[in-house]
Amino acid sequence: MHRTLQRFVLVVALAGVSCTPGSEPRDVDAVARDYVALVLATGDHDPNFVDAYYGPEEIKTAAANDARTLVELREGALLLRGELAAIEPGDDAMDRLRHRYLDKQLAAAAARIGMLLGETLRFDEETQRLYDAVAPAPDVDAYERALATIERLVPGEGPLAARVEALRREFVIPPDRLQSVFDRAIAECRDRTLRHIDLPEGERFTLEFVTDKPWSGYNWYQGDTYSLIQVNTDLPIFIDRAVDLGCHEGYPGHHTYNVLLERELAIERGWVEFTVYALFSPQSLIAEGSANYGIDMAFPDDARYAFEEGVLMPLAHIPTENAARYRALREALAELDGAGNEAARRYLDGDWTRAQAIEWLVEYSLSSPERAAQRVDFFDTYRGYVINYNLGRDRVEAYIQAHGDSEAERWRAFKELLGSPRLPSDLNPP
Amino acid sequence: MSKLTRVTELFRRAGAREAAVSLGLMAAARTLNLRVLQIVSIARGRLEPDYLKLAPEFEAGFVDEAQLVPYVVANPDLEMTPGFVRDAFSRGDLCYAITCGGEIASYGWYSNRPTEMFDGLTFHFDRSFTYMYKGYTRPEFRGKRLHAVGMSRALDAVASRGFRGLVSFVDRSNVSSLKSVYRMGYERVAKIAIFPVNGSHRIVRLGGSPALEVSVQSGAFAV
Repeated sequence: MHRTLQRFVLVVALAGVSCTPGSEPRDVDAVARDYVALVLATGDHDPNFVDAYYGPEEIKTAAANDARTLVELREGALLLRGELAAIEPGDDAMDRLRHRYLDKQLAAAAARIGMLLGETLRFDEETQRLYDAVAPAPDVDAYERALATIERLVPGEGPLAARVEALRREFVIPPDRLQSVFDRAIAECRDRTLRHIDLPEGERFTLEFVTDKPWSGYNWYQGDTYSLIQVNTDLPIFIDRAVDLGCHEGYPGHHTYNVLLERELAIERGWVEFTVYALFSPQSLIAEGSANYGIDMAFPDDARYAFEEGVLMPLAHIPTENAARYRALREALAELDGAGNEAARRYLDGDWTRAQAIEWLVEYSLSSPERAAQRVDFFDTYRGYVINYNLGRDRVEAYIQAHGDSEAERWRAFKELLGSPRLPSDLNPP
Repeated sequence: MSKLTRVTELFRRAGAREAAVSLGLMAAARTLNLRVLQIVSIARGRLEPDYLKLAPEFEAGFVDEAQLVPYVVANPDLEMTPGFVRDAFSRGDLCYAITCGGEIASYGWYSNRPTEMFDGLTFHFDRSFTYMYKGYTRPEFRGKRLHAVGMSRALDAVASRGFRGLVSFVDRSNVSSLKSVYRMGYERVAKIAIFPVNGSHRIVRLGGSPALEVSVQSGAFAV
């Protein structure tokens, strides 16, 4: 029976059967267009969801009339993912990156809409689903070592955070000097960036000082190579924030990133999905991480301190006698960067109260209680987004460092990262 | 139920010819590891309109990973593991669920890309169709046509995105499932025979309609 049956089956196999392919599903461009419409329509339910849009006006108009409920929008995101899965990404590396990027952005949109519908995710699950990354557990021993260093830098009585704050207050930019200091800082950031990245002629930005915001600075990209950069002056602004924000919000940070996405992906390739920026999405880890690491790109080694102490402090009328101590303090404080993630994780997971989160931030981030409270306000509004700054920076740094030893190689890799649809998981070490 | 009773019941429900084929294939599966799959498809135009209607006590729709994983963890009787759910969503698969009072009563999975079947084999199909797999209805909700309703509504949704229909497969020996899918409006596409030869699989397509391309291939599909 065995042999007879096998022979029968093989005869049928040799006879062969012809197959004709059916019609093709829609292409990636069509899915991308629907993705843009979906993000814009979701923005009507969540005022923080759409960070920027400068795409076709008709999509915006259609989205304004889009009556889909959140349940329908989530179903729309899931169906678009399903549709995308039917499309072969092709052999071109950029096309494949685009395919994966769009898929992850859609998955993140579905997750965010679920949160708007009241579904709760644990902090790590939220960051995985929205930002394609999970922050590591806190290294409390490393924090303690950094705190010991800081203790030596600001010896004395009273809480360490208060002593740190006292030293930092020596470096507050007087309000009447803010404009000139920021103008000068941003000009320097821009100049250093343009040595390595060509930006379109006419690219520009406007700088505004604002109050009553949960963030310290924000880039509102308007399209056509123009950014509105806002700096929050609710709390005193230290001198180092000028270069921080100049690089982060401007060059080679968000403004540069958005200009490159617009020019290289939206215009040159016609990839419409890059005309919209969904804030709660993997794109944000790349955006914030590259904006933070961009500071080190623009000011390698000690260039930043030299610029701040030689140019910005005199411009702000800040004495420089304590500058070396302040520099050492900032380097030690940088070791505490990840502490905010833990505060957000424990607070948002319901393990800590607001007061406990503030207490942790005062102890391990050495924030003043006022700044710690502002930080917790940020957690309330943006939730797991907080990891994008420091984890994003670490991921981008590792990625760039792995792409070359020379400054030119690193800038090439940095520019390529900014102008390509790479995902946070693409930055993982090989 | 004794074996004789089951066989008698099979002949009674399926008729002599179908019952004989089914018994023969079951014997071939046991002795030769031969499986014959009936590939079936359904276009939107063949949908039974009544199957799109949902009784008022139910809700239905595509569900997301965040909804499904905690539910699956709490309800192991659903025949899905969290790992399966995460893997399926990571591939972009869709899960259409019918719920009753917040409880999942029935679900089905849908894929638009080649999908692993069993024994390291992958099911490939015309990408203008959506592959329906792993349908399940909880015992207490059976007899309410929920599988047919969920499948029909899912088909309606994917067809609205431009897909031509659903494609699926049923073991040729599973007479009751075959009868059920034909009742829903599915049509025969082809049969595929799979049997082991020297540590690998021999896969043969047995006739059928050339209008829909399907195949079974060894190995996983990777993008």
